Amino acid sequence: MSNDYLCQAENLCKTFDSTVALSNVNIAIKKGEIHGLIGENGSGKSTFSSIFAGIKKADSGTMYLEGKVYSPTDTIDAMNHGVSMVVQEQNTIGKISVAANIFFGKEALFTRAGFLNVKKMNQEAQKALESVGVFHIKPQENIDKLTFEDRKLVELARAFYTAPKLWIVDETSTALTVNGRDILYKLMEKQRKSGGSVLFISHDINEIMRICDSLTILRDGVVTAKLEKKDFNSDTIKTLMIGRDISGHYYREDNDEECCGDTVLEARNVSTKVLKNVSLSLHKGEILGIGGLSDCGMHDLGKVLFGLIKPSSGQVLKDGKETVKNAAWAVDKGIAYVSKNRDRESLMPICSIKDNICLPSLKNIAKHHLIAKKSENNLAEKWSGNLEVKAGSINEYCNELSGGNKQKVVLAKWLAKGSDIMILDCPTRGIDIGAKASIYHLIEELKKSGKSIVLISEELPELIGMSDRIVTLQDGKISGEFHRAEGLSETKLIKKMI
Amino acid sequence: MKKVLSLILAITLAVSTLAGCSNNAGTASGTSSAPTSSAVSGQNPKKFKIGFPWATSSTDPTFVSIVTNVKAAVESAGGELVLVESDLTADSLVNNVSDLISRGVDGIIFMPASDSMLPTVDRMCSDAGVYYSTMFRTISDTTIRNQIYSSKYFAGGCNEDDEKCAYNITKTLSSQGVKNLCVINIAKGDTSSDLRDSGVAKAVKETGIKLLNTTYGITVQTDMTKTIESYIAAYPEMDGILIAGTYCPAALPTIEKALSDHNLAGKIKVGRIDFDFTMGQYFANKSFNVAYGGQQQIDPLLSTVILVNSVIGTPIVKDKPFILVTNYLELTSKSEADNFLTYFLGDTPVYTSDEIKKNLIKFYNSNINEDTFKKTVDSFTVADVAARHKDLVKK
Amino acid sequence: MDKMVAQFIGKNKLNMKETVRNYFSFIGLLIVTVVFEFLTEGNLLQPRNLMNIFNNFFSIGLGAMGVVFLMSLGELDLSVGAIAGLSAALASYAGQINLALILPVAILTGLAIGLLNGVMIARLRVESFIGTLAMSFVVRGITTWLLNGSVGIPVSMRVFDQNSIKIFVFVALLVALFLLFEFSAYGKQCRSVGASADAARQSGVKVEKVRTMAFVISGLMCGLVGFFSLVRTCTASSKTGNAFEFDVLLAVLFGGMPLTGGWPVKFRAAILGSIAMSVMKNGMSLMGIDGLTQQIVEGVILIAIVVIAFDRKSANVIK
Repeated sequence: MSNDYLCQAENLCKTFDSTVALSNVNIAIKKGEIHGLIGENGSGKSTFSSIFAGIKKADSGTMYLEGKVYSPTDTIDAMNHGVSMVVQEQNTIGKISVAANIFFGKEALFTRAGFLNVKKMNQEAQKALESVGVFHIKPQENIDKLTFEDRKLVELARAFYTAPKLWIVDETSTALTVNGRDILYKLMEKQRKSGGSVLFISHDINEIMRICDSLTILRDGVVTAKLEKKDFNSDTIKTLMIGRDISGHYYREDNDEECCGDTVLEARNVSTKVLKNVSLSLHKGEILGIGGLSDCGMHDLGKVLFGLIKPSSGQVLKDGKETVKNAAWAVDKGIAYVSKNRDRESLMPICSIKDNICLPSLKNIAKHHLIAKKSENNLAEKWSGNLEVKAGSINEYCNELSGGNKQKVVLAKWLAKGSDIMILDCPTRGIDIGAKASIYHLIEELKKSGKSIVLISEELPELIGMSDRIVTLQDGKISGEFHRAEGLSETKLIKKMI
Repeated sequence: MKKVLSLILAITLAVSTLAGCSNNAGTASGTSSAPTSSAVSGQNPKKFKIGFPWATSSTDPTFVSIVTNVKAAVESAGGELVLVESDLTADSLVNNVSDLISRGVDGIIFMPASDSMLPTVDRMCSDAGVYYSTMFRTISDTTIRNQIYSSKYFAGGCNEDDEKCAYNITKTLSSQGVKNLCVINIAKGDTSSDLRDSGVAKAVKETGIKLLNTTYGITVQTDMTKTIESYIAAYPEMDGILIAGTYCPAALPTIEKALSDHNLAGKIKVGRIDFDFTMGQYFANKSFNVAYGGQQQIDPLLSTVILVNSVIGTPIVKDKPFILVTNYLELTSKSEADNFLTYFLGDTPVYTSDEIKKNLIKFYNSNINEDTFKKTVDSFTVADVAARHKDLVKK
Repeated sequence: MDKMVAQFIGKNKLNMKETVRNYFSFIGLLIVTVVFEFLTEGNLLQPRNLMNIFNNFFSIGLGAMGVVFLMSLGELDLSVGAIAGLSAALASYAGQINLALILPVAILTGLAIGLLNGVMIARLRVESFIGTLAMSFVVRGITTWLLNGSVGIPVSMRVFDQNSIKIFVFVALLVALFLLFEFSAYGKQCRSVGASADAARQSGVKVEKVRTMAFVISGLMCGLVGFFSLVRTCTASSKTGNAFEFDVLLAVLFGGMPLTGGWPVKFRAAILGSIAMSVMKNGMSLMGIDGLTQQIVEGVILIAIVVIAFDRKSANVIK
């Protein structure tokens, strides 16, 4: 047992029902290093990290921490051993204060004679937040009032407060903006300098390459490579992850702009609480990109176009004549919407893939008002097959799927419905590059088949790579419009966004 | 697998249900001849079972004592009592009767929830050849009364003149000086409740008492407290409260507490129909003044005796039901109340099985007739029970 | 081949609890039936007693089938007993005008209150637990006030209280509602809204309409329950349908119905649960168990069900 290693995992195996998630995985993390873990969705990286953090149990294999056998019974036990984790999905507890979140499960520290000293807890929470470089969040604030990113920062403070030896950061950066990411990177650096280690899990190859000292690549539950910093190479990593060569073909390759089709969806002088007098139109066969800062109103715009939010003035017209009344009407008329908040709004998690896919199409597949199991199965099989949803069967619950596969299910349900207009709000959020590439490919296919797409995204390369036309929003107003052309750069867009 | 299992289960159930419905008629009629032929001469009548749907989940001493008294009556002629839980609603009682019939009872004693449920019960009992009798209630609907009274299987039963009782107690309160009266009564729609209301109304008219308010259907103590307190607040002139009926537990202590909180205990006369087990104490400190009741033991007992006589083939009156009116007893002192507690609500029925066997079962004594019962009712007082059971009941 | 083997092993690993949960309603019913058949020395499954069980089951079963839809939405209806009561009351008054009005008035009353419930919960966004509880007070109050005692209908109406009619009505409704729940767009939409109202709305489901309809269905079934209670007893009293809501709730829980709604809701929970419940009640009464003990037994069984049947892990605390 070398003393260089903080922790090691030997021959970890884990199966879920019939799916093998990890197969004889060996990973060793040195003291004072940031160790990257990368792999496609479903490659087992989240399974690995949750085993290490005590959330799940391995079927077989041994873990060592500082040379001793380590088998955490639960997250609290793991935390007591010095292993702390921040996860991809939101993990704060609603309806209570920031401070209460940070010290959740540790209230005893501030309890005297059965009474909780809230003031003391708030002070300590303030310190915890400041120690991770966050100054704008007040400990006594209700967590529900915070933005998604701020809640993530609270989680960081919570994880860091315990001064962990091993800090597991699971896909956290996708939830953060540039500013938030800076805080995260600084924290990881601090952890390394203090002699602790970080297990950093991400899809973003560039991010991994920039930050990590060494890297383990997983594919289908098997370690395909271990790389040191000097050996990092973007294309190699991609190939090792996916198992095939995908360099290059990622976004659309053509530079042609489609512009002249009929207008299929149009917003006329739309205003809401956030939006101010927005007018835009989507043409047949066009990919219309909408960009801006997260709170510029672009997510609201997507919902307005789909009829989910009623504009206070102005109107949304389909095919130039009919007003979009509500979401049910929109779905009927072939408009599809994929929410940014996929797990909450686009998908029923405790529900099979089949039922999710069939939901919008129920009336279409009904004969004499009854729906045969067979027609449901056929529809679901067809579209989950077309989109290559990775799952044991279409009866599997969606909450067991990886982010990319969940998104494929969402898209499958709209394709099954045969919608012509797709409003996609951050369709690749929290998805690894393999799944991302296939979603980009799919969007391109849809465009080719004559469907019209509104692509709302916080990722500029994605907008530039995919859109025929990009509209930027700033403070609820349209601030600029760009046409597809070679040499359209992020800086040009950013200027109009801020 | 799941489908197969569910199919098998469904088929089994369907088949057994259908089997049940086809066999029902045959087996039911088979039992009908049994009870009538039982009056053969001998030492004891043939074994029989009497069904009694009752709120067995209640621990109220009165409810418990009713079971004790019914049981004594059934056992006096060697019968077996079949108790089933009921919430005493019409719905539940009809189901209980159907249940009991299929369990092969020979007679059913129950307290009807309404007049209109009786034809249903009558039809079920007649079809199965099972006698039934009712306790506490009269039938006010003429059509239904005529129909039931002409039924072969209605043995009769006891009831009280609720109207007269309410009339009497209101008059007693008036003679104690009450001028402004508030009334608390059982939920509207209950036969007794309506009769008591009209009794109160009659006495009010006659005595010139002012009836301030009537509240119905109080079943919990907090509501009782609230009602009394709002009476106190709304009617400063109130000098009498009459509980014409309530299912609220510990009603008297609750009222006493509410009154004494406002320094009114003893100043406001309180009367109640139906006895309860805390009366004595309040009689003693004058915060309670008059109670009518004591029928709650004798009525079910005699109702059951009437039924038992019919079931064993020696009906008290031939070819028509025997309807008996029992009296309310009036209590106004602590010693009477104490005796009531000891002799009425204890473990001993107001007539023991032996006493019933000797005095009220025609099978053993063919001289028993209507008058025997009427005399029994008239001689029935707290003092009478105390005298008879002095040695049986330990104080 | 390997894959098949792996799948096979995977299947075997489905833990005991999972299996118990899947077959919960069947297992529960079997256990209850066997235990009581044994305890009542074979009296339970006597043909005559089966009819008693059926009569007891009939109203609970109707009520339970009615609440399946709204329970799949994750809602509750605590007003079913009160609705049945008012339906019976109004129907008995209607019967004084014309006997032919009894059935339509009972059904329409149930429907109307169901609609009120639906509008209150779907449009005005009142929590269903509170809303229907309040509604039950209102409806009970109206019933008591209206009846001013009890009202009867002619005994001739008992012709409707025949087992053949009841079995026919029950089976017809069972088939209709089963198809509606398991095989129609509406039934699937109900479970979708229960699983995630947002996702359902964004998939084109008219969430408010689906919610309202579920309460209307429940109301309608209560109307029928009121009608059959009326023709059985020929009496409507302020106590008709008393505590019926708890019988229904207990029955569906007994069948393994999850209170959270969504896709795990199965129609069979209502039917099997109601049967099990009726068998249990009947069995206990056959054994001569007093009411107090019955309550204790029911309570203990309810706790046991919740412990065995509900996956408390999936009820997330964390948002």
